[in-house]
Amino acid sequence: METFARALQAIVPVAWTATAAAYVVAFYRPSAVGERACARLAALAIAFHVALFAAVGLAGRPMVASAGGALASMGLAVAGVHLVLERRIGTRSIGVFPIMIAVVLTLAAASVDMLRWPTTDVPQWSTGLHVLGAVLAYSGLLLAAVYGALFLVQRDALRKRRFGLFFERLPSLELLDQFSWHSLVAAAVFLTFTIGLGHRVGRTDGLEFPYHDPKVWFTNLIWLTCVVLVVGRRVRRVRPATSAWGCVVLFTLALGNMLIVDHFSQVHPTF
Amino acid sequence: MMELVILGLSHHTAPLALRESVALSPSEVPTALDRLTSMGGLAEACVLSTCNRTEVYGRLLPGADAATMLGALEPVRAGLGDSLRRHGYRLRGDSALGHLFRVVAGLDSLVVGEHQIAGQMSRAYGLACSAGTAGPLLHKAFPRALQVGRRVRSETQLSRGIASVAGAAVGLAGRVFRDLSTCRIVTIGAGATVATALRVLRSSGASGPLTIVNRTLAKAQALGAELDGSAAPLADVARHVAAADIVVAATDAQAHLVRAAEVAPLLRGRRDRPLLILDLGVPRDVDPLLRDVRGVYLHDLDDLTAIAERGRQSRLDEVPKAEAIVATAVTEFRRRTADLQAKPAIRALLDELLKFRREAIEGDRDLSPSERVAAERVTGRMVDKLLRRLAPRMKDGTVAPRDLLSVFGVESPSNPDEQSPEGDL
Repeated sequence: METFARALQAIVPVAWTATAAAYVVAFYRPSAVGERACARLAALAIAFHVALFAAVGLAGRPMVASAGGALASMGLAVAGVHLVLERRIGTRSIGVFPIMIAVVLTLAAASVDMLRWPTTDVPQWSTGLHVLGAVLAYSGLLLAAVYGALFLVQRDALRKRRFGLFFERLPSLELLDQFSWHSLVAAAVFLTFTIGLGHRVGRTDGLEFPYHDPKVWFTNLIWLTCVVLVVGRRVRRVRPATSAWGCVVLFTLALGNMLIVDHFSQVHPTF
Repeated sequence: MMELVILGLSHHTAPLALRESVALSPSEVPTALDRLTSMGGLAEACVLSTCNRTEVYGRLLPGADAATMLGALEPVRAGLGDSLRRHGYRLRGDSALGHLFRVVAGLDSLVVGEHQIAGQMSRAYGLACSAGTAGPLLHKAFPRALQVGRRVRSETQLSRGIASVAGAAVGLAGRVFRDLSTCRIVTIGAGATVATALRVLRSSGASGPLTIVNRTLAKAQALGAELDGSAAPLADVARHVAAADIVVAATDAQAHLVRAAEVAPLLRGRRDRPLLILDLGVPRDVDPLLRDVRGVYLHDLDDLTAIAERGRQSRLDEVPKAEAIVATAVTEFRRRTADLQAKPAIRALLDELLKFRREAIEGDRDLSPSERVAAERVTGRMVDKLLRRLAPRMKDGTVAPRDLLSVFGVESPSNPDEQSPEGDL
């Protein structure tokens, strides 16, 4: 099973790369044939991805047990959510961006190697849910940032009258704003759940909760910013463009939390 | 061989006023079809009539010519025959077929690549089928033309993007709003430009409430009655603009009718709803300073023209690819039609050769049974070889099937209706 899982670990980034290539072609030269190719390759990539999780799980290392697994899960969540949205709006014109991110995430996951972790490190249910919540929250932030950035690009095209390729291919400002907003709300919900569960997990370990750990501080800062943005939008005190910038900043903070703050944390380094 | 003929006029050959005067309504088309087939010298007929072209597609009966067709059309619409005679074009054979394919593909349209023409052609063919004036040639040519049109649109970028100013207005609205049907529309002015823009917006799904702000209220009410909108006086323009989602302005006023100083304070209340203003007036009706107000997307005629021009250019870049598809389709169609038409003649020739062979073998009483078998085998091979050499030439027209059959004293099995007309088109 391990050999099969390793083979899938190598195949999944290749499948996503092929899908991204089809999306790049569809972005530059939209055609019915290209759109069909995108749909088929995306379905194939999803199937390989799910098979990878099943194989890794059967090898005794559930997805939440490793950083590679978490990254691969983020890749699947980002691509999967976008593909569902894409079916709803009926255009594949912006799929290239989330799919490219899925490629990067799955490549990173393959380089970290999900099967390197010993089987004895299988976490408890609560820890597993905590990691899953974090994965979904960060995926939400990532999607909110992608849609937010696309909103800013389209807004810039309209304001500065740059009627080029992006103006033609990107959908409406309202649609991008809605996608970004819904992703942000989902991220806020999962982040709240993850932080709450993390707090509970920290206490049940019998140790004092590390309130002064930089990772805890930084994660709480991200959560707070996220909630302020969501509430601000809800009460119409924050404009769509500000919200889009906020999403981009939030994801940058989340990335910093994973890549930089992690090194100074005593709680649980991601990598 | 069956040959398609076309008699028509289009935006390439006739001015708009003339095209409008000869355009046939769908209710007039059956009469025209009936007259063309009963006294116009056509064995088959189909009429396409749009604002940009009026064309008759058909197959001429032997001895008929363009004059017969024109004569038959004259009573349908006064001046139609004369207009076609003076401003029209006449095509036949491959050039007619190529024209049909190009028209359906949108290559011959005023806005290259527009797709409405395929629907119009499909409806014209439907009318011909209902009237019973479409025969073997049109039943082959029209479905094939619609196929070619679909192929051109799917394999090239000819119909992609925005290629007209009206399309640019809708395109801009579509880049700002997700659902045009909920947008509140306000127009400033009630002239022809505003009416055209509104009609295009309405046909693109912008079915929300409409307010027409105009100096002359009666004119606004008249346009409102046509497009399901209400009229408002020009004095309330700032309030209406501030409450709108899409504003279309086109008046001949010499000063700005929408001033930033008046509208900007009213816009502070709307935080997350964008406002799209399309200023089509020359000189401009909307203060350009409004462009700096957050949430306002102000575009003038230059912007719309730039979008349309970019789209037109990218469509023109695709024309050679589309033309190549059309040329291939014409050659293929011609080959297939020739194949189908040569088949009865080849069958007749084979029957005749087999008859000769049977007569020759059966007539020789000196042959023993084994010699008879050998003779049948050898002559069978000869007939086979002869047909293998002749059939391709009969299909591609190098050898006229009728002439070849006459050598053997066989009458051509093809329908006399399917022969080439002798008269000029």
